[in-house]
Amino acid sequence: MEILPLTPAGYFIQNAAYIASSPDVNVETQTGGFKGFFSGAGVFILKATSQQAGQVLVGGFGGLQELHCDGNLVIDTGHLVAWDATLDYKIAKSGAGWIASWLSGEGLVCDFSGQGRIWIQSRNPGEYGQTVGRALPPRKG
Amino acid sequence: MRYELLDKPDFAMVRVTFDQPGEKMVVESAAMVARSTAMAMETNMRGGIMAAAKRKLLGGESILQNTFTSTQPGETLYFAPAAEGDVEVLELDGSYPILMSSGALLAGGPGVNLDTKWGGTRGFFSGTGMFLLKAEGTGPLFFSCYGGLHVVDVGPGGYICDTSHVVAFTAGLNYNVQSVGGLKSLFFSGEGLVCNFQGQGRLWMSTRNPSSLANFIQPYRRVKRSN
Repeated sequence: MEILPLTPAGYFIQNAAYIASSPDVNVETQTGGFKGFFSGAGVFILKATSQQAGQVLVGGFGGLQELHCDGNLVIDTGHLVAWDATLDYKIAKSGAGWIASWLSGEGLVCDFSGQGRIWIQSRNPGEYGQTVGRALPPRKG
Repeated sequence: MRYELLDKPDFAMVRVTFDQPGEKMVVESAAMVARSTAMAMETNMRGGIMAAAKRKLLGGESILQNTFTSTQPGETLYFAPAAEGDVEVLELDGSYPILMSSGALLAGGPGVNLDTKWGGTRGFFSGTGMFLLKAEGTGPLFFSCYGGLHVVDVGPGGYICDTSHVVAFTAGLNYNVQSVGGLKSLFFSGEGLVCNFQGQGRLWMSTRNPSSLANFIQPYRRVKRSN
């Protein structure tokens, strides 16, 4: 778990990673701009902003790591937790084409550019489910 | 190329920092977490389709691996296994091959060669896939396990480990798969099959095994009623 003190730009947070925030922090769901975020792990992206000082608490599956994006960085969508709103991001295929992306097993990635921090989680809930699910007997019905 | 193991031991993740352009890392499919954008990613079957199919069917590894190649110094690559557990890295120098149980492989340098090895009929029927992947050559080898990793240095007295807890061992060890104490214990003790190691070498074992988790969860799953 990580406590993020609010910055003027605010943060983007993957909805499952959001835990709590100070009362004056404005948390809203991002629609529109963030098209087609269908990673299976987090469908919505939240944006946390505040005029005053405040904090946001985020959590992840596994360990949290803070990465510094200086230029460009590619992150697997299933590992995203939160990032500085100063960063530009777009969802992209992990490989050159759809087939290459599917074959690589990475699926969709988030392509960041600019300067800022990104928090990632060391496990991907979707992949975890697939791995454990394989060991379980089939469900009835 | 430098690498660090982060978030050990429960949710380990690897960060590789490349020092020169052209350095490569071969990572199991879907294990990538993050990378520098300029880094090249190529999906291929190591050793051709037959070798890859054999590894998939027998060694439990993904058919396809992603090869990441650095294009400039200072680029980073993160990768992690799917389930909770530890990751270990060995720097292979060509003097000793490593045998890994199926699914343990996470990544390797381009100089690490992989081949499947038959684990014996006993292992085949144990359901734990005692097919082993043999890694030899030179370079870093990353493997992961479910739960924590525990190292045992096997001496002249030998050592016995449950097959589903074997993660990897040095190829200098002889092993045979056997039931704990006859067929009766196979069915009633819940221990199933064990791997009996002889000789000198090192054994990495996991402190948990995924099928125990599955058995534990199973009674708690919702059942769809028929009416």
